[in-house]
Amino acid sequence: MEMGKAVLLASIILLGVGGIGALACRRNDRWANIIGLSSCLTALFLKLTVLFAGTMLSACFQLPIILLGAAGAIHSIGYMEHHGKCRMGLYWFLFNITLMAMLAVTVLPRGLSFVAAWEIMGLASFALVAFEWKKSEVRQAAWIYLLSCEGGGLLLIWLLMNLESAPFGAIAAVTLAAFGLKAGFPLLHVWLPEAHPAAPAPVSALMSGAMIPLGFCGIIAWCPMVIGNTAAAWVLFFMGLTGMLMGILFGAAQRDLKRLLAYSSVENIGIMTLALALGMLGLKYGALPMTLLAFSGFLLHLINHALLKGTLFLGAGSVYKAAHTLDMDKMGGLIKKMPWTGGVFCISSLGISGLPPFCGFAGELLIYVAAFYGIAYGTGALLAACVTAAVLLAVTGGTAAAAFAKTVSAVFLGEPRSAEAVEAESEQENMVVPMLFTGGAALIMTLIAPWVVNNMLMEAATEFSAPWLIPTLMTAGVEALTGWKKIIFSVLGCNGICALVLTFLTLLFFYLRKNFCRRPDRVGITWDCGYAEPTARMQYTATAFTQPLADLFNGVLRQKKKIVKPENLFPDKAVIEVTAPDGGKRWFWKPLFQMASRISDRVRHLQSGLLHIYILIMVLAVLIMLVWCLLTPLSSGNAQDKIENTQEVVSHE
Amino acid sequence: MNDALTNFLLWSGNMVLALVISPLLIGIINKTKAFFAGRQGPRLLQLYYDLAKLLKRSSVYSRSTSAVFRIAPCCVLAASCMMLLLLPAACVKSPFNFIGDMILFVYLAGIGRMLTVLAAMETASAFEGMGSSRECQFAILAEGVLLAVLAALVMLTREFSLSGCLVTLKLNAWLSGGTSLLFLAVAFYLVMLCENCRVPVDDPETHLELTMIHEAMILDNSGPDLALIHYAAALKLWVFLSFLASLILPDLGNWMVWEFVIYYALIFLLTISIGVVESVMARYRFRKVPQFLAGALAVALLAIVLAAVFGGNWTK
Repeated sequence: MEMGKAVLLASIILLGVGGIGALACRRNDRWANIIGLSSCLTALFLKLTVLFAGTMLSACFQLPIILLGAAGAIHSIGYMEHHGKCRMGLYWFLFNITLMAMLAVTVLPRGLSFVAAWEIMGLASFALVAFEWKKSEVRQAAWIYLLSCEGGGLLLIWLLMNLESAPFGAIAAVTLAAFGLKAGFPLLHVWLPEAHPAAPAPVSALMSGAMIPLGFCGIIAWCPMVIGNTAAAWVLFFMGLTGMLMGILFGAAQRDLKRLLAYSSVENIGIMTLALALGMLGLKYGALPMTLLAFSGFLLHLINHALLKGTLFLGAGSVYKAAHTLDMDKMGGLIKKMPWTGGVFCISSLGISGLPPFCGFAGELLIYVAAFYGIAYGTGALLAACVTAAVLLAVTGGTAAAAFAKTVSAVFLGEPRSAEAVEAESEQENMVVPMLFTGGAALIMTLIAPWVVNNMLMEAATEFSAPWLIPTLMTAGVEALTGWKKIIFSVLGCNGICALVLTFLTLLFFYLRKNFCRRPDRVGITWDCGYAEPTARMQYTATAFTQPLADLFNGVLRQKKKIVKPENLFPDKAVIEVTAPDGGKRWFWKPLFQMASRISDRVRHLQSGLLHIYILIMVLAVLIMLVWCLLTPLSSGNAQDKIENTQEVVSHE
Repeated sequence: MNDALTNFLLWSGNMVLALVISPLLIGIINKTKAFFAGRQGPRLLQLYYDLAKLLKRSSVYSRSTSAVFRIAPCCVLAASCMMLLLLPAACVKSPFNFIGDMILFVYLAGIGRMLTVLAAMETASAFEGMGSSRECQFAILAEGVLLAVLAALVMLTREFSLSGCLVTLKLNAWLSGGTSLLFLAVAFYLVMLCENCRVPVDDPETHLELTMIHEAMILDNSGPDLALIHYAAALKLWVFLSFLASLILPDLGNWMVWEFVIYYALIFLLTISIGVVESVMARYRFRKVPQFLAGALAVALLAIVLAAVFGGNWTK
């Protein structure tokens, strides 16, 4: 334990020193890269060696940080190349400080130091989001991110001051809001689709995979009693449902690659929240297996999502670097220029859509089985909740498949849709390697999931739910726990075997087809019902692909359509532009901020710059206070004290 | 032990039979449709001849395509085979059953669909893009319906594997809660039409590519690849029909022979009923298909509500 703490401290110090060292070589990007990268990788490797020294729960949150931190660091070298001179020192400083703060957040108990680490994490990542600050949309995005970080920070400070005195309901609500802002709970998610497209790709990968799940870490650290609370369970249940459905629906309607991925993160956080809520409902109704399944599904999905989304964001970065655009309607056919990036991106997309044989399915499988347990044995509200969860999870899965079918096919498959895509550069090895690393880890995860869940995630789940789990175990007996551990092991094991069988069958059919159908294959143009001159403009665009889906759910999406219809006998132009601006921002935050600015506009008249008006206001204020003091009844002791205190202060002065 | 061996042999015999006779189902549907139209129609074994012919031809690949297009047909077939592996045969449980395999069943259909879509999008063809886009839209609701049906089955039987769910329904279940089971069967029948691209969701026989879904997606597949896809589609139809037949068929205890007879009879009857549906009604407009699927979802949820109000456990 002590050893673990020492090594953790060493790695945190190394990160800090490395960051400052990189900052010190301002003139020399090469040395900044060397110092920043080496210190980052060494520190993360050091931490990895003592991953299990602390609590299992913190290990669950640290693993994504370590893996994505390392992959992102290597990817940065290629991604930030030709970015502008003499800025790598600053980049590495911010990157390392972000990692440092994230690692600190996973181990710190609630208190002032947690708030400090949380704030450093927010500010350093804000600076990274704003790294390309010369673009106005980046500044806009960074501003929104800063607002949400600082909003969360303010709530945290309130929590810090009122933790002892405030009623439980208020504390729970503020905790959920403060950390929901980071995790991207519905309505609080507005910064994700703005900040992710603006940030450099390795930073998006780190933030999306490892930083936003820290919201859960914060909730558990600050208000562990939430886990056993029924009202909180129902709140989280509905937030999870809304988050996953809205997240993926809005995601499917986007044409910016990284914005789509950001919405997919909102969806996956929704799935995790739903799993957490199902586990909490299981605790409430005394359904032990449901709790175990849901909590381990929650943590497994957290790790899987980190690996997959990290890979996808890194892939998006490579694509941006090659084609210099993130607009999916302008891409196409990139897999021919970047076969490795395309291949890994394609497989990770299948994974994040929750399709077997890839690892995204394993986590969802556990969540489904948890819901099915509730369906089989629950009655009333629990039954209804579980049926809703299972059906909507399937709907979400289907929509995610549609969204990622669109992404993969628009970016990598087919023919290039624009000059940018035609002239796209080929991939760089130093950006492929980190993708292979995280993508490969995701593939391995399918196979080792049974052991990971049994030895790591179950422990972590029992750590944060112990006060409620133990009474259930008292009645059910410890054998129930070991029994269900075995069952979960076998579920994931069978899933792993099925994944292998599916892969084997595919390869077998491929082999047979290659070797027994001897007639040589021919190559030609796309047949397309005999059309002789196919052009790239005839193929479906990304927007067109999801148009039927988006129109079906237009009641929620409220897309904005700009249509210029072709007119006259010889129409010279026709335009259709469809966008799906964020619902939370459009219907909630924008009106709210507009109202705030209207009110402050009115108040601004007071600031006229005329001295006598100011004096008048001060006199009026003093008068009002006097009247107020005279009218307030002095009977209550509290008020008396206050007045005495003021008198004392006045006399001191 | 002896019993287990018999069961295993029965199950694998049935599996081999499914692999052999699934293309016949397409023949039966087409014969039924021909009967209604007063035509002679293609031969019952037409798909076998087609497959044999296609396997001898060479594949033509578009220059736009890459490895995804080449591996997709194999993966689609592998997914169909896996679905078959998870299913029980009549009232014999699959030896590969495990807790949660029903989810895998739904998602195997998903991976097959996803790869078909990706392969279609690789050709950069407008028709295939159209088909893919529609397929993805309808799949969203279809998966929800499938999950609702499975949820109802889990609720009724308290079994967490596909084999367990489908096999443990006793005759009493039909006597005491037939309404709910009937609703489930109807919902599953509707979603089966969608998943297998049959009328009224999709018309595999139409001559206008604009109105196709599945057939539009495989316009550019040829030779052995097309054979694999056709065979995988036939197998998938068998899988869904077999699921429905097992759902309807109660466990008859010792009359195992009769179970198998009824099971096969049901599969063929349901196949003919698909032909009848295709003969008597037209394909819906695409805008109406989501309503059709939402209807199926409502029927499945109604089954759950009925079972929750009147039901109980029906495995006894």
